[in-house]
Amino acid sequence: MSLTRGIDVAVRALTILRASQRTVAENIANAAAPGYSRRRVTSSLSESGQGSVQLSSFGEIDVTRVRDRFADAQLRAAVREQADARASSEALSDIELHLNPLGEDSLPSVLGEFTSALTEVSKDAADPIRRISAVRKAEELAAALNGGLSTLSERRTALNDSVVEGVADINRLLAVLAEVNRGLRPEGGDGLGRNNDLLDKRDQALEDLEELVRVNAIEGDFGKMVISINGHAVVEGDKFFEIEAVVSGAADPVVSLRVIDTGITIDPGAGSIAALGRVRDGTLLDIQTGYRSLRDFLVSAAGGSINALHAAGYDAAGALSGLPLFELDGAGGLRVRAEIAANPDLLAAAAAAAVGDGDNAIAMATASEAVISGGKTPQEFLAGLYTNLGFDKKLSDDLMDAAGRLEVATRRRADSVRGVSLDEEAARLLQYQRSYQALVRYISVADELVLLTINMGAR
Amino acid sequence: MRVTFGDFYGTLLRNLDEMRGRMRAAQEKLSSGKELTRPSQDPPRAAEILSIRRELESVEQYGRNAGSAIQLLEGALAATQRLQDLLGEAAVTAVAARSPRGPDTTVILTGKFESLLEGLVDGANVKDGERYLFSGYKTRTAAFAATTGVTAGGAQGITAVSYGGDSSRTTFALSDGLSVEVGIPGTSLSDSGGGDLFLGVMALRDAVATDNDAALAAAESDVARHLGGLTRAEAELGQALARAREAGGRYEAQKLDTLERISTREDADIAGVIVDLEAQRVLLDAALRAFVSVDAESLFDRL
Repeated sequence: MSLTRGIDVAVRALTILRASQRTVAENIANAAAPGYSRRRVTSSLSESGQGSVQLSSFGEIDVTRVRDRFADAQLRAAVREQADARASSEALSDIELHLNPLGEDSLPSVLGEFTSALTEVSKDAADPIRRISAVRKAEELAAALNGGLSTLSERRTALNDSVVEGVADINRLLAVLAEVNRGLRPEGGDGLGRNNDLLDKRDQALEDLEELVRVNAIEGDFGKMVISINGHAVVEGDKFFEIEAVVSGAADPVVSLRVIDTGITIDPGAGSIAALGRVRDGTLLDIQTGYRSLRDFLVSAAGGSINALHAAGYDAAGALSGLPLFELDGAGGLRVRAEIAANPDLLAAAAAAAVGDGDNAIAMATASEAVISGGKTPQEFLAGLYTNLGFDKKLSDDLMDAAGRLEVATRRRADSVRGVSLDEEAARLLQYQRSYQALVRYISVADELVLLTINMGAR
Repeated sequence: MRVTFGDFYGTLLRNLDEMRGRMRAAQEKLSSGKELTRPSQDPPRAAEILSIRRELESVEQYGRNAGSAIQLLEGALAATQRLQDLLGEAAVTAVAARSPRGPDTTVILTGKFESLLEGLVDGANVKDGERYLFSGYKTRTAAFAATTGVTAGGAQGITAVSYGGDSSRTTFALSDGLSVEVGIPGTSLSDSGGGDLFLGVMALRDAVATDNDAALAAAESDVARHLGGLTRAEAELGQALARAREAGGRYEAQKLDTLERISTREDADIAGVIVDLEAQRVLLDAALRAFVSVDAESLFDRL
């Protein structure tokens, strides 16, 4: 190789080293940046006919990302499962916190106090204090039940609101992916690695999207992605198809996802949005239905019910009642009959027109513990609802733990490929510095030799 | 496998988060005193707790019933014994009245009978709080009402006693299938109807006042019969009281047992929690120190 050719090679090598140093600096600066993939410089080499390796023409330095696509795909799946389990766990925790099943003022406790108050009336039905206490306990029971139903309705609204927020996030991320597709170009081989930042942005957006819904991503030219959810394309080229949250159902509203352009409803499959829907349409609905069953049990006028017994009973003055104890208000809530609430002497504690008779009170107390559903008393029924809630939450917690560990393991694996090791970069930097110094020295020596040769010829 | 910047700090943060989570759980146990505050922490145990609480409610209700029954029966029994004493004193006074007596003795004796009569009415109207014990269901109505007027002897006194209650008997449940009557109506206080309880003493008073030996003998016989009625009432109340006391004693033990069963499932071992919390705190401190130590070294320090 001639000296001039050698200088050319050295200059080329200096350019690569400079690019490498710049890449190391970029890696170090972005070590903590979310979604950043470490870069490395690659250059195209070609073998000469003599078997030596020669650098090809100037301008083919590439800065590429270091990633393991299989590990990335595994990570996205793990992120999705973890987000699904976490959303489910948090939603169920919220319900559990608000209902407070083991608390002293829980619905089973209030129901028990109502039954007890009726029993106390039966022991001395002429005692006005006991009557007042029984009516107040009936009002507390109605308030507790209405409070529970209201809480559950609020939880439903909160879950639906979270789904709506999730849809907004999905659209934002789809817009990002479309924008990335628009920006991706063939690399110019100039070592600038223009696509790398966009590709990092794309991969981070994909990971964030997987937290929300299950997506299918197919990579095309230059890293452009076609994204689909449950078989429906939502990002193609530089376009994305916006999704809307559609509310349906008046009594128990449900939010579903629909592609605006096509009007097709899509199933999120998995991820946090799917989890919220499962909790809303599963555990939450079961508890709402259970509470409504209890409400219906209390307002029932069927033979042997509290209301039927009350209507057939006699008040403190020995007059036939004819009134139910509980009724529905206009909004579907429970309340004590207004006349009785205002005048506890109207509580029909007597089974016959005998002043002080408390037999009907004990009958109503017994009726409050009659079978409501599935051979269970109201308290057993409520305990069953709460136990199921507990099991669902525990399962979600266990899944979240397992999915969390898997996510950590897969992230660690993915990160071990794409992540920046400061020690490695520092070592590389040192290496490049020395190489640069060596090349500079070589060029300097080559230049001296050329000068010497010129001067030799001049004598 | 490469150890990257993200992995290193991510692992540290994750571990710190987990440690803080464990500390939070321990602090929650310490502040609530409960091992279990939500069903999801241990669903089968939560179901047990809810079931035992239902059982406790039942035990407590039966316990209250037994307690109330004991209180009412003790009051009724004491009142019955007082009535017996008064009626017994009337019987003794009637014996003394058989002896020849002058006008002054007659006045004294009739006054004594009047006083005993008033005592009987008062005794039969005994209350527990606001509750008349011998009125049947009509617990807010005095069992007996005395009417005063001119007696057969010409003096002012009780001329009639009427019953204001009814003949019902309130029962309290002591357990499933077991109940106790917590009193007897005034109509059962004597041998053949409550009003006669007072008529006998009224008859004694009037017989002495009118110096009618035949009426006196008949009245003495009535009083003796009513004493027998009171004795039977006393026995009935005594039996009911014994049953209520036995049930009450049982429920105390049951309640303690039930509370203990709830406690073993629900309450936290405070000493254990404190030790655990302290251990978590020490570990957290050690982890932070370890991080500081590892983080201090870097290859960049050598460049």
